[in-house]
Amino acid sequence: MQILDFIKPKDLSRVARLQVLAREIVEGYCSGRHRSPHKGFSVEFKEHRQYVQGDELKNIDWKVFGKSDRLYIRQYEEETNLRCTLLVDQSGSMNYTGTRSVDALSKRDYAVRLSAAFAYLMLGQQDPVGLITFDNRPRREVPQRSRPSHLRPLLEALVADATDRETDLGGVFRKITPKLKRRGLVVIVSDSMGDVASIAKSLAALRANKHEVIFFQLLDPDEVEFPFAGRVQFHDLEHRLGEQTVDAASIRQAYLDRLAEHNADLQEACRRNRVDLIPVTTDQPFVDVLHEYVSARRRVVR
Amino acid sequence: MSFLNAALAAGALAFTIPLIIHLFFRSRFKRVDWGAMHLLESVLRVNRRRMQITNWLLLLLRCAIPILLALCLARPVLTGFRALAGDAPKTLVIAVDDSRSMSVTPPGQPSRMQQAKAQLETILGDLSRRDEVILIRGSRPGAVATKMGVADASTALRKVTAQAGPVSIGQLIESAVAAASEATHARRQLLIVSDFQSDAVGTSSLETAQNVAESFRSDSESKLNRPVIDFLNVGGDSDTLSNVSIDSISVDSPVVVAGRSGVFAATIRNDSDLAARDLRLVWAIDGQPLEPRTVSIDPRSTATNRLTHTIPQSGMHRVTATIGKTDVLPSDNRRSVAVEVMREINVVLVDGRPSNQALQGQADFLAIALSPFAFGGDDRPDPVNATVVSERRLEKTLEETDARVVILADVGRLSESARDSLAQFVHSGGGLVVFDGPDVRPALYNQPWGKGPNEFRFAAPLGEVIGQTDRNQVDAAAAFTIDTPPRIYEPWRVLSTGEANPLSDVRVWAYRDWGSEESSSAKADDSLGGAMVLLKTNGGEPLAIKSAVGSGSVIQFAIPGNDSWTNFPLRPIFLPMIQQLVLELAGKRAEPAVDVGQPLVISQNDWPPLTKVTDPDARKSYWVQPPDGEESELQPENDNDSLRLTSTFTPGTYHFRKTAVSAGDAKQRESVHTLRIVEVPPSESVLVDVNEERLQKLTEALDASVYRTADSLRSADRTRSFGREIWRWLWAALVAALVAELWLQQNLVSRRASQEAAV
Repeated sequence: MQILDFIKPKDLSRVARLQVLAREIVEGYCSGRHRSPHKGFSVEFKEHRQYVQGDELKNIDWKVFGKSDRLYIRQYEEETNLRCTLLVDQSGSMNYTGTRSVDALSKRDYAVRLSAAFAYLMLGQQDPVGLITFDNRPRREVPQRSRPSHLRPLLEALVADATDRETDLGGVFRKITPKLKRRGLVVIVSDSMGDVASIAKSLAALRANKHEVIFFQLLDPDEVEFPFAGRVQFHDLEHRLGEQTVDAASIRQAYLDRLAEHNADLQEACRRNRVDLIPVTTDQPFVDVLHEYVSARRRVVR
Repeated sequence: MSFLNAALAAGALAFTIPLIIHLFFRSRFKRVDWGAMHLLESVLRVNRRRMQITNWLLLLLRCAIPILLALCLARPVLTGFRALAGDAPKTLVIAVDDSRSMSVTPPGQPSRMQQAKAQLETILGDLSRRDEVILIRGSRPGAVATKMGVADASTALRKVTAQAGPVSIGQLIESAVAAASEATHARRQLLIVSDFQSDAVGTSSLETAQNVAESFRSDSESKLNRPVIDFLNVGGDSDTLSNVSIDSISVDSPVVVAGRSGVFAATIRNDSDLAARDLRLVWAIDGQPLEPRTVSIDPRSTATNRLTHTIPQSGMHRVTATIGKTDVLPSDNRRSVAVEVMREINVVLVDGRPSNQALQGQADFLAIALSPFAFGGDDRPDPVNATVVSERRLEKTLEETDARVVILADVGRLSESARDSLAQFVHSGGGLVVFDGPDVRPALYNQPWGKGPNEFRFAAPLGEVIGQTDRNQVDAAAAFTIDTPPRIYEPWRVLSTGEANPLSDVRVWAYRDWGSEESSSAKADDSLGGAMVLLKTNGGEPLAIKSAVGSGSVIQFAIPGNDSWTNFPLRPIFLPMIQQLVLELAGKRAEPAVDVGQPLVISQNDWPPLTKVTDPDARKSYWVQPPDGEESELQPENDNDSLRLTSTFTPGTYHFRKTAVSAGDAKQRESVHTLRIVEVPPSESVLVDVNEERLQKLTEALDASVYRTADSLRSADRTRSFGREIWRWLWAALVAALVAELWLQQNLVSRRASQEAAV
């Protein structure tokens, strides 16, 4: 299994050029391109500090002593690597395949490709990437590694276990949070079909652990626009409600209102917890989405 | 419930079409594997019930529309409202108020009678050939009710005209109920057609209605088959209509004498809120118009216009006044009266003590007073031709002259035959005036005069003479004075000017007492033994009374006709008073006009005398020509009896002719003519609608309903007969269902369509 099975070479080259920069300070185990809380040996000067007893003499800025006759220590910012964990929703609702999605992909397939691209991107900048797939509980976990060969186990975990279980985002996140011991970047790819209040609590918990969270809310265009008419029998992909036969047009407005309300609640929860929420529909090329998001983010961080 | 077009009710089965369509589309749906059931679930939970209700409602409406349409076309009838046997033949009694007010023509509309006829034609058009109609006219309440078919009723109705006098609704109802009792069919409907004027619905009408209702309640048979009473009101808005009418024409002169001017007065009423300016009033004598006049009348008031005119010919003449104005009731703009113009009035003066010396006889002053021109050598004709005779020649004179008045002046003796002659003279319409005097014996006047049916007594029994009869011993202070003549006696009313007493300088020093008890009562109320007191002393003692005897009148004076007991004959007032009194007695023969519908009676005395054929055995025939018809023969009950014409339903002039053919020579014949006027009472010209409260009382008493149009009556009658047709309700329900279906469609289908288009 190769990355090219999921991403076209042309798109892959675009992904390779991308860099995800940590918006906040992260703590990596090796030097990288992200700012670290530790002051170390790096090229990025941070500040001068008065010398106190015990400081190493080698750090004294003698030039300043020569000018001011005072002892100052030069301090540098240490750069570290970004530990990234991908949380990918594999529940039954992700199996929906609309007619207008890119390459007739289901939401799940789209999520796999998006996650793969993100992992490729992270590994390309030598940041360690881990993966947890989940439905109503965590299913597969791939630990964080930064070597390029780590992409394969990631891809294998992504494509495995196509389940039709129901979603419980809040519960799952609460189970996953303790496993993420070191702070880092958490990328969630999900259709967010669940109780927003519960999701909000879990996001808050993630944020409390100093994680930076990016939430890709993945929806099919059909789910956004509800283009059905006439008598339609909706079959629940998560087998929770069974079959519902309705006059689709008569409930369309109510559905759209409900969706708008759900999205508004989710946006509010993300805003409150300073989580980047990126609504994505499956008719958008995922590389474009990723490209635009990362470019925009890089401009903000710098 | 039943249907008028039952077959069309089968169309209701069309409701199955939307039902089938619904069931067919119910099994057709598209299957979608749906992920976002988390969002859909709450939507379904909230909307499922509403959607189900809406869909069921839509289905119901779609099924109801063909059902309602089919029921509308089938015309269902609710038989629960039915009060009468629907198909049974019925008797319709139409009682039409044909009073003059029904000929009122509101601006821009046909007359009320024409409206009534049009409405009745519609009602008659609904009747079947088995039904029966009885038509009653308000002007002929006693007429025999004739049962007829619908076609005959329609023809009879067309002949009805509105020219009768006031019609009482109560009487109309009574007549209709009486006619309904003669009905062939058990199912009876009484239809009272009127403009319901205030006068027509009086208290008596309400009482009649209550009596009729009571009789319905008490009579068990009526209770079962009680006739239905309906009112068709073609009146209304009378307050807004303007009308000018001539209410009356009166003859102000006590008597009209040929060649002497008579005074006629027309009372004109303006019954509107606007003043009537410069109206053209035309007087006419026997149809010959005189110079037109101009009159103006204030709003809601009356005006009197007088005509002083000389009619040269004696006999019956027609005096007409016509107002030239176009209003809602043109027929009352003209009114006529019959006036009897006399050649001269023959008065027989019986002098009880004639004298060769001037003014010493008992009748000398009276003779001068009655014929002043002749006395003064004037060429002008006197209206009165007075003949002074002794009591012995009285009978012969009465036979020879056509005397209208006999005056007995101090007559103390009269033979029994003379008394009989006078009694008959008075009973047949003559006037008898008795003056007192020294020769009068009370016994003569206190006994009954005449025989059999002509017998009469004088109203005031004669008593003693009170006061000083000897003129030479008169004490001026002890003389009696005379009170002002009472205003109720019309001939003397013109002599009283203002408040002054015209008799203030008249003194009476002796008069005849007329029974102490009765004369004292005359002090209180100007009457004595049923007679009218014409003169009395200031002390209240009656001096002259007038009583009616048969067709004539008797006037008694307690004073003489000369100056022996009083200076009355010496006063200037004496002459006009005696003249007016005699003219009044001689006049008053024929009524000037008879109310329409009232019988016309012409006695033998009313005819001008035959001059050529005086043969008592002559064969007489009588003819009458009504205003609107051909001359026809009339039969008196017996040869000498009065002529009686009862069918006076048309106002106008009725010409009568009497032809006598000599028994001996058939070629010798003579005709005399007279006329009578029939008029509608002026109350018909006053247009006032009955107030709602009274009409409601009337309808409540009879359990009747008032309808304005034939359509509303027809609808109510149909409901009573067959039940209530409910197609209008169903039609409204159908429209409502269509609108509701459209609205639901707009809310479901159209919005859906627009949303699809937007997508």
